[in-house]
Amino acid sequence: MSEEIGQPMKPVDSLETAFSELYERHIDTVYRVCYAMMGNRPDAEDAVQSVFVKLMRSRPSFRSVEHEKAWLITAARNHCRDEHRRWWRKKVVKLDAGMPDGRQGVHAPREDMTDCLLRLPPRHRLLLYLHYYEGYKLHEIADMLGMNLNTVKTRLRDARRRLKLELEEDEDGQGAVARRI
Amino acid sequence: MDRELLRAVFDKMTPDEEQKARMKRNILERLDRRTARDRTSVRRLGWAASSVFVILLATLVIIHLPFGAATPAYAISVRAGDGGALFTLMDGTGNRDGRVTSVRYVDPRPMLEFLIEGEDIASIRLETENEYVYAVDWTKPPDEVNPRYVKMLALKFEEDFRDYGQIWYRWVAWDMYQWAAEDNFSRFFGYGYEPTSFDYDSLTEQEKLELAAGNGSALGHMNLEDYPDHLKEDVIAITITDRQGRVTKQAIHVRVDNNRIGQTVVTAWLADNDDEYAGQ
Repeated sequence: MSEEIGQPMKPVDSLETAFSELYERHIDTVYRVCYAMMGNRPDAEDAVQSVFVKLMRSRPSFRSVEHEKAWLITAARNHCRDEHRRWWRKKVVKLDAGMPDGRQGVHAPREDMTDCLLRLPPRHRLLLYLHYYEGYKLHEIADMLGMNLNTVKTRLRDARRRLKLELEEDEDGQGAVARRI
Repeated sequence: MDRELLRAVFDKMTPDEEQKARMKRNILERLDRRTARDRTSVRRLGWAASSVFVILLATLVIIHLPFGAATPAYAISVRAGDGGALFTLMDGTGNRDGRVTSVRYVDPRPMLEFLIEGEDIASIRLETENEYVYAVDWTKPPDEVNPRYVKMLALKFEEDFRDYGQIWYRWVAWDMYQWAAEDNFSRFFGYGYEPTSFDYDSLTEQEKLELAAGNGSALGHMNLEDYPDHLKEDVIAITITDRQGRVTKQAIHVRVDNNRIGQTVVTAWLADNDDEYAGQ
């Protein structure tokens, strides 16, 4: 996941082509980061748009696709955090109790697991996502988010513990899930 | 940790194709709006070119005056409402008829977002009289962002810094909000209050239509009837120092009040040069 060994950037013809390629490369990741942070679809979509607009307006240069991805993750994290701090947040949207169906496969998660995850603080959800879904190592997360490695370790441990507690407290027979954590 | 289960939860957060297409369309529209503004600026260059001779002549005159140092020009752009268009405020000298340009928009949580663009800026200092400001730094890979509401904000820029427009400044009517939110948001319309200045007969047809559609409702807006008048206004004093040490002072005036259907409206305008600010 190191920036230096990531896939090199290739030249592009036009701004729109550049945007389309970049968008296709990273939209899933950026959206999932925003969703993990914001906890609902409308706010996640708003955040995604702001992050990509900001990228296209500032046009920073990247060493690799991984560098580009790390920039977007960080920008998405900062944007969402900024949104959470806005006392005038206009949309009061309930955290999605369940996400849309249609992508549930063999490993379809139980809705209770989703609910428990969404009850965690956004920063915990982000760390769980980056580590367990994206596969970033702890030191990579620390570098990317400009955090101390020990802080990342502590927060991830807290996130796991809180998720476990949430699952245990869930009344709908979540014991089986909780025991696996 | 049951990674597979957790991964499956995050997997469900992946956007579907319709969402992706919608977001992409919106992003391109926002980028297009920006490009259109840039094109407008290019057209204005044509006018500027025709004035080059006049400007050169004026410059020649100025540099021969004893105290005729050139004044740096800065564009102060205000965003009209959350996610709205950017309006570049003209100072009193930049407008053809000498009037100050202002922006006015409905915002239930009064906020003014603006950015300052220019060249060779060494530092920017913002000061408010009543309410608060903070800065959002969108430059480079974002570092820790800690927006704090302050009445005085001073930023210094490195020698090679150029992305002044990537720093957005936000003025927030925090004290006003706190006042309105007292006693369980008792000073918000919708909490036993009705817009007192509401006069249906005086509304335009468009306003009546908006009301009928629910778009013009003041529910959720602050009722400022009892809020001290002098606190409904604020002045954001801006001091810009360039790398040659030249200082430019400007001020954005902000006023928040209810319109006649009770909505909270933000009006902002740039002070005529630094006449009012100079005395501070």
